[in-house]
Amino acid sequence: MSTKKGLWRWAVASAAVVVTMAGSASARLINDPGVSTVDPAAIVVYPKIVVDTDNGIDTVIQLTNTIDSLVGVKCFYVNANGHCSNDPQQVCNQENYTSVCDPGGRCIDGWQETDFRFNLTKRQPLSWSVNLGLPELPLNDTPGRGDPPQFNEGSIPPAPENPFVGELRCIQIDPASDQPIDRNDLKGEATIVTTESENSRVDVRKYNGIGIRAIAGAQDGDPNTLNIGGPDAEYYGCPNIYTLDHFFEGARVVTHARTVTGTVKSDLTLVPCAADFLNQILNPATATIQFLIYNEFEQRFSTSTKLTCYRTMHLADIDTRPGPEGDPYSIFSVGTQGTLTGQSRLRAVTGSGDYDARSVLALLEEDWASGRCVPQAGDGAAATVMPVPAQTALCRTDSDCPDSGVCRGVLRSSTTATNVQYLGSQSQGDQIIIPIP
Amino acid sequence: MGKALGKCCVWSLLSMFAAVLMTAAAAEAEVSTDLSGSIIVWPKVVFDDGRDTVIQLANTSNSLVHARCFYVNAAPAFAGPPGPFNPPRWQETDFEIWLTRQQPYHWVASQGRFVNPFDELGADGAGLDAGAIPPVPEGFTGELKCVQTDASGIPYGGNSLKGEAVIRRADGDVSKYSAVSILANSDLASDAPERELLLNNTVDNDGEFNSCPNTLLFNHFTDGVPDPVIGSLTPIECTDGDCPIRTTLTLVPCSEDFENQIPSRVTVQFAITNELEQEFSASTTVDCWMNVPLADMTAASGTCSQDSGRQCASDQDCIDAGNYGFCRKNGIFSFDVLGTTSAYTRISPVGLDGGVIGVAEEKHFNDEYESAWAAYNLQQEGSRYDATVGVIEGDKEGPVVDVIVIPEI
Repeated sequence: MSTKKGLWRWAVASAAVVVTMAGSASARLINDPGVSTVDPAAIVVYPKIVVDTDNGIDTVIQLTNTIDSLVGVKCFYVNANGHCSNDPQQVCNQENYTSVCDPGGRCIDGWQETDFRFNLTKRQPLSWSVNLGLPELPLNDTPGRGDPPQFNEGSIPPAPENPFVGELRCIQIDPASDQPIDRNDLKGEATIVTTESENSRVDVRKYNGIGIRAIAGAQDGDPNTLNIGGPDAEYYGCPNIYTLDHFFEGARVVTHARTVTGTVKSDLTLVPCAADFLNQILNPATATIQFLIYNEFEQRFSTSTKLTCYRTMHLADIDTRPGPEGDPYSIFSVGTQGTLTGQSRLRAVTGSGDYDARSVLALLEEDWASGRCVPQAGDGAAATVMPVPAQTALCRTDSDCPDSGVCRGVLRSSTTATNVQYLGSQSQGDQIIIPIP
Repeated sequence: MGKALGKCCVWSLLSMFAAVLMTAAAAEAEVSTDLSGSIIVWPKVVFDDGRDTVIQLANTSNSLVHARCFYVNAAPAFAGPPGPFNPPRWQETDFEIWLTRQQPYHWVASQGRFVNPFDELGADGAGLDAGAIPPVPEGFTGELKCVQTDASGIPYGGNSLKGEAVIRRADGDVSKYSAVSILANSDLASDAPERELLLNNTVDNDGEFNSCPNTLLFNHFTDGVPDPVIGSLTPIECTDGDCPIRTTLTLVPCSEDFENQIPSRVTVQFAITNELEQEFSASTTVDCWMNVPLADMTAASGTCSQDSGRQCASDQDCIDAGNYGFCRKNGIFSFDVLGTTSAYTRISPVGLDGGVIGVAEEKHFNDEYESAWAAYNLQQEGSRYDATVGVIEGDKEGPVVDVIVIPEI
């Protein structure tokens, strides 16, 4: 009897302490670094990797071990290329399949992983072109300077297909056992370079890999299944809400003391937090992503879209058909919104289970017009820049040019990539299932 | 049944305990580009050298948010190159804005944004005007800092602001980064003296605003390394210093005294590791605002890649002289010295100096001197406050508390 009373007293007292601690923790916010692009982490996700050598595009990956100890890394390329239903060799997407697939063909979305493993020695940075891979790591045969000396061991394959679009996910593992460990020592960046030799243009965009942090001491003994958040979390949960600041599609931005003008549009890439690399199953559940969009008048709009395994899309294609036709009618269009910028809040609709949060990771890219308007009579190199008084018109198509001018330049756009900010994490979790040799 | 209920309660409580402990353990990062904050810093704002900056600022809360913003112009005092007789201006200009719930906002540094309720829909100024924002003068290079306040101008720890910056060249090339957020402890952010914002909130210390990081983690291509994509995907021969990648590092001290216009000074140490795990080091002083190409960090001059007898201080010197390639310098960050494509640099303030925050920007050239910029945020480790607890240096004793002093209204 007294034991029972003691238990209850302890329980009530503990509850009071917990409530007090929780209250003070929320009052003196430090941060919520569960998912972070500024802290080293255990899992680094590069949501967008692009290779298309025919069009001069490749991605350079940077990955670094931030500590003095040897670190094992297991990485997974996810090939998200779609292929034509009537020509499995032909790569396509939902925007271009009517032109690249044989008549009657559809574009079937793909999700194919390729994994590889290597070590990173003390504070070692590594970089590689996704198109070429890295057959020989710098310290495969040469010892590092540590005591005992550390070696890289391993190689990095090139992209499994060209063209290639997809993601890269790297997980920190114990170099001895090859099992995931509760350390946060990896950081990474991706640089997407577009080059065009004949017209001598270059375009570059860069973003930080998204880190998912491990919880110290929380590994549960099942090395195949990584619990990202949820009741048995081994890693902190994925974000609950993304706050995405963006320009509305077609916004004409004037800069340089009102002397340079050109339009901008944006691409959003979403990948699920969850993945089953062991069974090669597409993301276990299709997520619905809800959008709340605010313009500079504080007017609110909303829409939604679906995500199964990987999606990269123009903002205007979220609520209209893929392709430019319906863009002016999108709620992401500047013509619909009336202001140049907006803020969108993205939320994944959760499922019912403990590990059915259906969370996503996000990346925003912007595409700014950078072609030059020239008079219609001009041709090629002989053409002079259109004499627009006190204003340089940057263009993507001829329709962007005033006075019936034409748009010149092979790379008619310049791009940027930025990580997306977020608020909080979900109470439910996601799972990444990986093969262990 | 009673036993079962009791066990259930105990397990629930233990789970709650675990959850609280996890929250405490999670609290490591000090400033962030992933979250909204109460102080937002754009370390690099330029209207110079053919580039202009578009600022984006948003209120992520459902309440009206006030903010005071401070431009710091670090351009040289007189026309011409900076030097001992042409020091930076350190000129501060401030303004106030009010953002309605969830309101996104933008302006262009060279143009500002004025209150005009008659802006056409879809035009640059369309939207609810948040207040008059002044333009910066041509030649501006510096930073922008916005502090969330209440209606009376007192700092307020609402953590409701987020921001981005797009830097656009006149030919259309763009680069973009996220502004750095310093989160506030909402209980103490308005503590007296209200105009002194103490960056001393850490896991172990109940302070006003989150402490700056102790170390910045900076992954970069080695200076002058031939771009691996341009070299492999085009017939261009990227050898002998052609197609270089140049990285420019921008650092801003966390402490700033806008009231007395006193610039802060921080000496930082660079610990560089290349892909062969070889270690190098260097140091420099951040005097209020630093924006330095890695090439210039430890080497003032070099020679042109196409004419090794021609001296140069920058790539432009070689180009202007008649396309003699690019300026090869043997600084510590150079490809010629480090020998690998990329490197990892840890940037740490020395002794009891305050913290710094920053952003990096890469410029990729092809052999025709065409180029493109890409900006990215730096990563971080530790807290400047926690790392200096108990440290004694001469007559000074840690911990270091960075302070931002804002002027009275």
